[in-house]
Amino acid sequence: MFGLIFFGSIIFILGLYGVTTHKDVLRIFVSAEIMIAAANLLLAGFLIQGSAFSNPAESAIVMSQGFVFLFFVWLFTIANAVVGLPLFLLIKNRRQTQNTEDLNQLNG
Amino acid sequence: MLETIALYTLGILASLFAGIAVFSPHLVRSIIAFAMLLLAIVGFFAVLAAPFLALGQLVIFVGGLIALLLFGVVFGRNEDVESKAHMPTMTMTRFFAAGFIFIILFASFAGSLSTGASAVDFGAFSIMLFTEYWEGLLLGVFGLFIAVITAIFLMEKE
Repeated sequence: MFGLIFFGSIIFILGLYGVTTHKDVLRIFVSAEIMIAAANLLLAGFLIQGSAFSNPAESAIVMSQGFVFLFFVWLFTIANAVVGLPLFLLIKNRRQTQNTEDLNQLNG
Repeated sequence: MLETIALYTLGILASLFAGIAVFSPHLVRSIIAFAMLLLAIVGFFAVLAAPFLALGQLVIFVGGLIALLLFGVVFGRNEDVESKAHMPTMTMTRFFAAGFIFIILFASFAGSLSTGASAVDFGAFSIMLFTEYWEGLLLGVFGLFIAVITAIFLMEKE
């Protein structure tokens, strides 16, 4: 379990580093997806570890509830990708840039 | 013992691929490294005796998300891709990548299936999803529907 938390945290921090340092919109998107994948990994690890403490009948229910939650995470991740990529393409085609430093119209 | 070694090996590989995905200067390689990271996570789930999660991750993330990202690169005509379009083919890298995918998928699924361990009751999961959590499911599917409509609307504006 320690290893799972350790590696999940490393992957999450790498994704966070990518989100905060990259200028390319698509790279920021990939880094955000790395963060989501790490969060999924940690969630599943905690779920599997946590359900091992209860009896088998309760364990199946706990696992099913956790999987329902993970299913929703997947659903919204895909919705995020489905909206995010057309937005990226729209910005790229209209502004002819994918550098976040050039996309400063809302700075005020 | 074997399970612990597999988990730590997968963890090191996943961290390595996450690093390549973040630090690689070539965008397509970055996305391929991200796909490898997701495959390592599939291996994690399979070793943890959760084949449903592994298959879901494989289909939704490795299949859907990577295809979407690569299409995003192709249609976005990324500068990184154009400037390095004539790179020599790296047969050995492809060979090792294919070998890695095969070993991860075969070993992890064979390991999880041979123990007979299935960490979830699929019947209970399905019943729970459509009875206890039907509001959430409805909201999620509605959100996905709106996302698809928005995507079509955004693409039609071009």
